[in-house]
Amino acid sequence: MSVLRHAARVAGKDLRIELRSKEILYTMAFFGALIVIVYSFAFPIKPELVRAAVPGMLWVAIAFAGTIGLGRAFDRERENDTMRALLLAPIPRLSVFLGKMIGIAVLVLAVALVCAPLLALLLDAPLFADPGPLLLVLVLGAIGFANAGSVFAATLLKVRSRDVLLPVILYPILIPLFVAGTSATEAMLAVRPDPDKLWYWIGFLGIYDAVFLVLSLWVFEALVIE
Amino acid sequence: MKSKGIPLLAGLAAVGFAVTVFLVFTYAPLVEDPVLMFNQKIFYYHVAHAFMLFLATAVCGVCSLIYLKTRKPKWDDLALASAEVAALFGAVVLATGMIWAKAAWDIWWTWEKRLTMSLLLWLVLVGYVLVRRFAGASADRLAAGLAAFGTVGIPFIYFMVDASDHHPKAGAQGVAATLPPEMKLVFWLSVLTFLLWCCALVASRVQAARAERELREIREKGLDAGLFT
Amino acid sequence: MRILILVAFLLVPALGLRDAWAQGHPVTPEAAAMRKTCADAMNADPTFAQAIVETINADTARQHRNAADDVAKNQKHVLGAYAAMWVLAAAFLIFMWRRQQKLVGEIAQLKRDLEAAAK
Repeated sequence: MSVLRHAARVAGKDLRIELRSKEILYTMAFFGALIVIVYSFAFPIKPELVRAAVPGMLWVAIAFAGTIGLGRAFDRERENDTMRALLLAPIPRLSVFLGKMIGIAVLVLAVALVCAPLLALLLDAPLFADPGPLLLVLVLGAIGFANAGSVFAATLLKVRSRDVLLPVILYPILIPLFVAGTSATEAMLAVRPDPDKLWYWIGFLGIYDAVFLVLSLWVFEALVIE
Repeated sequence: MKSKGIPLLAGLAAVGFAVTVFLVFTYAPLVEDPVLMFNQKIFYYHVAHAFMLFLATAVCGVCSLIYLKTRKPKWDDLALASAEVAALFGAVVLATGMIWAKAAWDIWWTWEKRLTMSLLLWLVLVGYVLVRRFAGASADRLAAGLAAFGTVGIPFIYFMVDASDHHPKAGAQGVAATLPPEMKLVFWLSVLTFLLWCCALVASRVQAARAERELREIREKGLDAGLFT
Repeated sequence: MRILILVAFLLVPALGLRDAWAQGHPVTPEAAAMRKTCADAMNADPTFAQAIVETINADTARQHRNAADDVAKNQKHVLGAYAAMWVLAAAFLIFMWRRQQKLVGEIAQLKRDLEAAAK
């Protein structure tokens, strides 16, 4: 249990830094909003197309904004080589990973919670007809993204071309996550909502998160230690 | 792998290839399908390559995990070699798959399930090669992590592709699994041939990777000893 | 006789075109009269109509046969697939060979460096 307590402490530290400067939160949220607005202009939005297009817009916005936030969040640990200090701290390394992961997940979720209402507002998409499952899908998606994201962003810390390599590594392995998120949102938005499909994809996301969380816990230490 | 092993494997693969080509065009019957007919001959190589793609990727993923746990460089060499060979086989699968789609459904690309899976897997492999090339000193760890995540993701890709009816599908579900015995024989012979070919490529790539690493180590040792400037 | 009919056939649209060009409406009384003459001439020779039908039928049958043969013996796609396979394999081998050459060069460099250091 002490692992979780330490993890909560690491996450709390990250979130406190973030809440003091609000740098990542504001820039990510603004970026997400920009993407949504660009999409509204880039795609021919007719009322009958909105239901099909909005899920993809939401998840691509999450993916792009999330990658930017991820890079910045780990840059912060690089500037004074504090990642090394964190890894040397007398707490289990799993706690370091979990703490980072939770911090990122909260940020990604925050961005999603900016983009989703904006999409609902600008494109008149009935996203919040049933907010419970939507929130569940977004939470699961944020956890999955933060999970793979923190593993690789932490490993990329010392690499010169990390900004281009992060999406090169992340997106291929996250495609199932994005497709699952998009399909779940699509099932929610459909003219006749399809609860079977929705819960299939929620289950898919849950298993995805669980499997990759175990894998990350297993390989994180080997990946970040030189 | 001794240095004699690779020429032996490659030679066996060459003989196997000659025999398979001969059998594909003389022994294996034409399918009854009015559209495919002769084009079905692509199948023997397309599917064999796809098998090798998944096999090599699995080998790469397992070796990467072992490398991350043990940090023995030989596993890294094997992972690198099989990833590159898998990327080659993936490229062949996609190219022949596209030609197959053109022949069967008169369209260059279709989101047919297995083709989609191969594409997604191939993307991971291309990412792996890019990481290897551009990630500098920590390339081995990063690539190993990517391979591990990618390999664990294969079942998810499968279920995702299976469940999502996101894309319009052109045509039927490819070739039926129930092949007549003559075709089956030729098909498995071709799988065996490409297994040998795959092994020969991986083995020779492993050798090159090992030589590269050893040379690098020698140079570092020399630098440490002050032999070179 | 047939040649005459053919010439008449060609003349009718030519005249019609000329008239349409000059007056702005397609069919003139002269053209209609010509057409009637043509039709009469054709009907006067029943073997001609028969010949046309036969030619067209043979053509259609040949086209169908060719299409079937094309599918059965269409080697374009198979050859393309094999070529793609070989080209990609060759590209990979060239890539490996170049790597090997680089290694050879590196070993030579190492040897030179060692010799220079031994001096």
